[in-house]
Amino acid sequence: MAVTEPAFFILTALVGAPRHGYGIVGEVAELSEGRVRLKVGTLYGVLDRLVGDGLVELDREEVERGRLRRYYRITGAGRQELAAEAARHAANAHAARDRLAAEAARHAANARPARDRLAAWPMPIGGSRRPTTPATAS
Amino acid sequence: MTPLEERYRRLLRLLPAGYQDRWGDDMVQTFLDGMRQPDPDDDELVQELGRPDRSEIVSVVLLAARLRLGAAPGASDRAVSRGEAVRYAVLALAAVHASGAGLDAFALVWRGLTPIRGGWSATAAGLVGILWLPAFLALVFGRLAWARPLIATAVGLTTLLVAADLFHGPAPATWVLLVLDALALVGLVAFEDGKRPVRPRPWLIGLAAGFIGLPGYLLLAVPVHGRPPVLDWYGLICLATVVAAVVNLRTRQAGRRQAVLLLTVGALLLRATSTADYFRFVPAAERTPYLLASATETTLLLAFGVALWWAGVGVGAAGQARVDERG
Repeated sequence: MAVTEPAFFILTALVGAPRHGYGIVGEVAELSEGRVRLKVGTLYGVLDRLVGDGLVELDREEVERGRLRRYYRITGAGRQELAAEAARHAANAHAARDRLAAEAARHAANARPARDRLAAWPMPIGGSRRPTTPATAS
Repeated sequence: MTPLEERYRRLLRLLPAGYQDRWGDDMVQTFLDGMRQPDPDDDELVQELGRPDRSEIVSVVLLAARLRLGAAPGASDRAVSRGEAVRYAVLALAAVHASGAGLDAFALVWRGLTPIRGGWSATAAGLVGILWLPAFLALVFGRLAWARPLIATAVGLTTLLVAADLFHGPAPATWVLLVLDALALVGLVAFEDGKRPVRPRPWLIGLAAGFIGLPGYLLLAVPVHGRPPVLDWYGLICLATVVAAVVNLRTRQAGRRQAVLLLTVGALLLRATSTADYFRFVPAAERTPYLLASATETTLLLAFGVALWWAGVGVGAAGQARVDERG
């Protein structure tokens, strides 16, 4: 099952504690460092799907200021799905990091100072004409 | 109920009734929580004068569209078949554009990379049209994240080109096609990223047939006295739609039937508006065969469109009769 980014963050937000709609919005904003700001239509579109797929369920209903407030919690299936998705993300990130590290190493090797590269040359420039013993004044 | 809540509840009426019953109160609560101000005076002001901002409105409108196109769990059969119809219609339009892009590319190469007849704007439109090829493939393989920006770019650039060509008087059919493209962009809400909407094979075969058949047709038909062929681009679209209607005449899939009916309406609009071009671009003495061809295509489209609709009514009635017998 493909988990979209909002679904991934909503499932993550529900790990540890049941949350109501606005609580999820706030938690997702914090988790994503403000990058993902869920709109109400988006949140409930995803929540409806997650509830339908059995990944999230209703935890409890509370009355606050004369209004009903619903709290949602992640299910066992939701935890499994999130763990699998997190593993996929980690594997992808690992592959990307490996590639970047290999590329950086290649660049570092090519960027050695010119003098070092000359030193690595089999015959130093002018080496054959250089006197092997220092000239001594008689 | 505060005026702000009333405004938000009015917006939620866009959602199907069942969805409103299930989630409406919770959505209102979450929305109002988000609008709450720490200062009581500010809060009172927001409750009186505040409105849902544009992004909130867009999120609810998109949710309503997805729900009404069956892209949600527990959607009604009608919504599911409506979504299927929209997906087929969008794919068919993308296939037409992708085939046209192949034809334009062939024409460009065949003429030694000289501009397509119609000047720079036609050449630019031909190049923009190439965007539909990867967009079509992305749609077929369920890559909505790629298809959406490609189609949005194609529609945006085509709009600019049509607007830039305004003073030369672009053909009315160009506007109709642009409106259909924009509707296709909206229709993307019926697709899901990562989920193939159809079996790719028949659609790819169709595209390949278009890629081979259209240049062949161009070579055979265009050199006749240097005039446009009697069966022109819009005529070919009509013909393809008639073939789709005939193939789906006996289908039990409501979505496919509805898709062909949608395409029939689109093709009829294109045919009617493109017929006006003949009065502008074809000399009066040579106009008769074009008008006859256009009339024939319109009649065929209407006949098979009505037959398809009638067959659909029959299938629906038969299904209902079976339900009644069981009930």
